[in-house]
Amino acid sequence: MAKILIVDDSKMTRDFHAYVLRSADYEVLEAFDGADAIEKLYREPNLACILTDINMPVMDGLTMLRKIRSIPEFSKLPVIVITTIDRPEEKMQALQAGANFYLVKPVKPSVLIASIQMLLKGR
Amino acid sequence: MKFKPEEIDILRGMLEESTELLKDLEQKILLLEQNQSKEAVNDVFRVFHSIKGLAGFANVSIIVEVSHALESVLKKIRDEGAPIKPKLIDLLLDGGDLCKFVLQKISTSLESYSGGDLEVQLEDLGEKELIEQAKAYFEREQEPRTDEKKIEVLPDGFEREAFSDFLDELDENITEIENNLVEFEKHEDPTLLNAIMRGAHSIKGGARLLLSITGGSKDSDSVKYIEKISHKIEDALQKALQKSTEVDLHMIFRGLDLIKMLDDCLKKGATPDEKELQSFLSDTSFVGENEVKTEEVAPLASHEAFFNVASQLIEFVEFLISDSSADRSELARIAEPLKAGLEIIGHPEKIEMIDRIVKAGESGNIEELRKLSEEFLSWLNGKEESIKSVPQTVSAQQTTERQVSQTVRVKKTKLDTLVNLVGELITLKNTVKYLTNEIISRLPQMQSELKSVALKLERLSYDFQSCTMSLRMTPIGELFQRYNRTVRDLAKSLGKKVVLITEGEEVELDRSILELLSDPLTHLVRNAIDHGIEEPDQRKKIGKPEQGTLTLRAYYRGNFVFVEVQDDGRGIDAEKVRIKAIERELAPQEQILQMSEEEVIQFIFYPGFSTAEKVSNLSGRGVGMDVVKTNVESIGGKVLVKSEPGKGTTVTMMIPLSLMAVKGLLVRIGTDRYVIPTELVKEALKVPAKSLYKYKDMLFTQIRGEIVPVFFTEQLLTQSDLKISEKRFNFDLIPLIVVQDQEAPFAIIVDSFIEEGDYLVKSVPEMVRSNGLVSGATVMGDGSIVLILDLSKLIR
Repeated sequence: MAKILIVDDSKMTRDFHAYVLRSADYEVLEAFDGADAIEKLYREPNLACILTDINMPVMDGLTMLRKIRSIPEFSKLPVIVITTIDRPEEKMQALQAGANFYLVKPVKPSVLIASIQMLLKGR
Repeated sequence: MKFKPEEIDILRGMLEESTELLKDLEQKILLLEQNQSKEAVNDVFRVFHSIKGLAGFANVSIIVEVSHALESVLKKIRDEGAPIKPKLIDLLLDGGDLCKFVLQKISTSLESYSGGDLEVQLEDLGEKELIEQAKAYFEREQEPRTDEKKIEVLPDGFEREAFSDFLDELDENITEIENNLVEFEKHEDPTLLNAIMRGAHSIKGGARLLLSITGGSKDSDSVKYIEKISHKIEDALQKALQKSTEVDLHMIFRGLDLIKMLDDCLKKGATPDEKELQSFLSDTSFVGENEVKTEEVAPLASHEAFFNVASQLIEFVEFLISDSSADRSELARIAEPLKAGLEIIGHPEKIEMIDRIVKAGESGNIEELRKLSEEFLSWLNGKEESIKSVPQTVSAQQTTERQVSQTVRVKKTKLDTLVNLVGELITLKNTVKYLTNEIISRLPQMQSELKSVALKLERLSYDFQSCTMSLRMTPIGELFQRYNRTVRDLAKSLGKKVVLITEGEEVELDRSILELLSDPLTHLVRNAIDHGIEEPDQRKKIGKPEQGTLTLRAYYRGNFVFVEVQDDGRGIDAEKVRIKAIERELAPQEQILQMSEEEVIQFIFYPGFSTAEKVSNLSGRGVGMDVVKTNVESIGGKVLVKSEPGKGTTVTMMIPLSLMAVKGLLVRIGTDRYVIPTELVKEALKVPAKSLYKYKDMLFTQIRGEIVPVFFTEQLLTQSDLKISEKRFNFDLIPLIVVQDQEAPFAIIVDSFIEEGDYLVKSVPEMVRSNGLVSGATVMGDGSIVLILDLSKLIR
């Protein structure tokens, strides 16, 4: 089954998303910030998609995203950004930085799965 | 024809469905004439077949007989490859007309129906001849010598054919029901029950039809039983579906076995065992009361996920439009999951639209991008609505409801009431707006609150209005379709070859406008074929294709719909029109002589222009052209004709999109207020008084280097000899409204701009229309009446 990398500094969020994804038969990897994620990216070349938070210490989600997009072999890697409802300006920034789309917290489990299915369809 | 009270509902249903079926029958027949394909034959066959079924069900024997006769001919052509003769097309068209006529008769009698038996008077419609012709379609030419014998045998053969048709269908339906029953036992899918019910319904209809054809022949007892049993099965299933109760499968199996037994008897000519049949029919125990368990439909999550991404695309597109420096390449990335999503939710046909959006975005075509994203958004909104309205759980009953047609028929009178109500709402809205402005000046502390209420009301009434108006909208294609037949018949009778092309069938117009357009279009189409398009050999001589082309075209431009009738015929000889116009003194001779050719040919719309003399020697047209003009102008439209001798003629009708409310600019001219419809307003601006200059009694000014004629509206409206030099304007700045006329812009002088808004148009009596400068009036919030100016007339 497809491998998905969850990037979030909150362990609780990571655990929750991981639980949801695993119950839909996805394989889950976790990273606690952008820098950690990029490191894992190089070690896991068969990643199907990334699910990332924006606000994180060391390297935030958008910086990470721009970095990933500048690396040719990852330029097409599907990325979903999860934003918070009270920062609407982040949405356009996320799309500009190279997200395929964003989801607004809190994300319904069924919608999370459906969104990933949509993103991975035909890949 | 006579109908019992209990048959009236069936009759109504049949009327509605048959009318729907007959609507595109003509087109299908004409298609058959054109391509002579098996599919086309089958298409027409299916229409007559369904109509026969419906009519049999409702006991309208004349339609049954006619459609049966035609159906048999078509069947033979379809199945045995019998030839399609030109006679067939006429026969089919006549048959269709006859059915239509009968339906219309029934419909008129139903309108005045008030209980009791319904009697429909029908004189001799020539149906016997038609049926004879249909029967003779093959006989006479195939075997001319055995003519006599054949005709003798026919009535019986006719019945026998109906009988074998019935048995064929019966077998098919029985097999289908059985398969569905077996399937239903495995997993209880309510849609299967629907299919079974439909099957039983078909059997019932077939049996009734057969009975109406054969009358009291010896086999009719068995057929009657089949009818009763299938009726009972259908009934039971319908009850079960409506009340979501459990279905007695045993009973259905039993009933089906009985039908099979009867089927056998019919084939062998045996008599059925009545006892068992009676016991089945009198058994009422089979409708149980257990609830059918409700089923979960697929989660709506995929839709939610899809809408989330779709709205992001729209937002991003808006962002791109507002910020030209934004990175457009991201558009494709966002579009990708969206396209996958479209496939998941079952709308792969919209993928192409997304591709176009991406392309427009990447090439920086902002106009296109905006247009496409709006189009996509409106589709999305509609989609979202329909998703929301789908319940989370579904029971057997809801399944039946969802299969009911997507359209709703509404009585026109109800619609009119709704439209009137909306009209009042808008007037009320204007009142609130007015009161708000009044109260603001007196009670400043309530200002913002009141303002927001007024704004909300304004938005609400606007939405209400546009929704109501959309109810009345009908695609113009419905009107265009009517001319297929006219064109064919007319061309044939004149020995011409004409192909009709329609464009923009999806353009929607108010139903009442559509009706008003029907006459003008008929005139224009007739004229084009009669006087415009040349005979085939003449066309050949001058190097045109033998077949002339007539195009009916509709498209949107601003607040107007343009409807065009274009032919590639001989065109109008402007000089002949000029001479005629002078003869008839339609305008001062001097003036006519100075007119350009384009101006001159507009005379054909003048009443009396061509009635006195034969028109065809004018190599032009003219019959009823004033009707065209009158009708179109009565709804605030305009007609224009363009013609190039030898190449063809195009008549363009500009039709206002809505009759009810106009967007307008409220201005003050002199002491009075007027509304100027914004549809023609290009801009409103102020120019210094000294930039106005006079040349030969005309005022001009320059707007961005362009010379624009200026009209002193107050003087025109009051018909006085007021001078512009006598007027005083604030700061010596003259408010101007620039109007985009068909060719060149012109400007009018007003005293001041007041505000922009929606105004409800009320018609005004002829005498108030001050030489046609006023097209209507509207009631303001404070109750005063303000006239609406017709700018196009102002300059003439």
